[in-house]
Amino acid sequence: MHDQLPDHLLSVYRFAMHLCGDQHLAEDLTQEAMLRALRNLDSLKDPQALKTWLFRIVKNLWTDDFRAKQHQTTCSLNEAFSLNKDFEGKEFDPREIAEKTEQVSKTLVAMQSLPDRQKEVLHLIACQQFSINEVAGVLGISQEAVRSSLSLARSQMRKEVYRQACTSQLPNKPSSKD
Amino acid sequence: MKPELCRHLDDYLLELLSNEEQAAFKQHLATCSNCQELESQTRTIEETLRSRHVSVSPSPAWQEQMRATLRKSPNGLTQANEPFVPTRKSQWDSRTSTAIAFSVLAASLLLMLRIANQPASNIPAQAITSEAIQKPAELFTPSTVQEPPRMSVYAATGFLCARVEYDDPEVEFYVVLSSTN
Repeated sequence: MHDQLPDHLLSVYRFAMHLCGDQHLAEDLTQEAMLRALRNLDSLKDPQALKTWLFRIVKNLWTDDFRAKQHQTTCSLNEAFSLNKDFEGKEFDPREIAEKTEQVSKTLVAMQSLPDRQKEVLHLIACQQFSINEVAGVLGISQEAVRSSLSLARSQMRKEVYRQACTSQLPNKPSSKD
Repeated sequence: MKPELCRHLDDYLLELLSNEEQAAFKQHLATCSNCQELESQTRTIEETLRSRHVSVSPSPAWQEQMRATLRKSPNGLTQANEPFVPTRKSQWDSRTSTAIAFSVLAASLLLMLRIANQPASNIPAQAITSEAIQKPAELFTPSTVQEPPRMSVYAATGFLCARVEYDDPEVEFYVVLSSTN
């Protein structure tokens, strides 16, 4: 199990980044979580549960110690503004980049509007590819609560993203001068 | 369109349905434009989130440093002093615990200092009886005889007592404050 810890470094960091939205804080959070895990690896009985266990440490550390250090979660918006990194070294049509950027921005803004629980569930399911059971283990809630949160999150996201899309396609109001 | 099947969309996307249910939902999906739209929107949203997720990375220097640390044996790290608790901390704040511990310690120190400042008495603890209380002057040496409020503290081997006097000379009583054994 000790050898498997580095394999989870990136996904743990990304989860930390999702929670706090600040690169330096995410690095601190990940480092603290990984070192705690390393020191206490003997207490983990089921090797299959390593990833869930790591994520739970991150979540608890965030809730108990780190959240106070961060006044506002700005993760998604910061990510949106650094989107051009995705296109570095690749050839893309500028229009395609603009559309892609807009789509990502809308999605991230919509995600910001979700309650914390729904955001975490959606992140773990959609980005980390966790199962319902694993998400329940990480967040310390029932599977039923996970399914309910996911359903609400998806519904809200569809509403927000596609409402935004409809709004952006509306023709501009003619000004009074016209 | 079978509306009762529409509510299984989330389970279908999570692949939580049995093989038969999955097949039945696929058939439904082929004919239900509402579910097709919801499925397409959900997949697009989650694919967008996933694509952003994989582009989030820490600095290479930090990654390298962390990997090197994690490759070390756990024995090479300083052991945590506190037991590892993978659950959330209780609302009992550690600062509260520390404050209480210091208060108790300070009170104990104060009590010990007061006892240490009393002149030693040869009167054994067993001497404090109802008779001893009736004749305190013979048994105890008052260390500090105070004027009003007229409360005196006495120390004897094993005990710390206080004498409380009122205006009426007939009314006075003793309180055993502490056993020092």
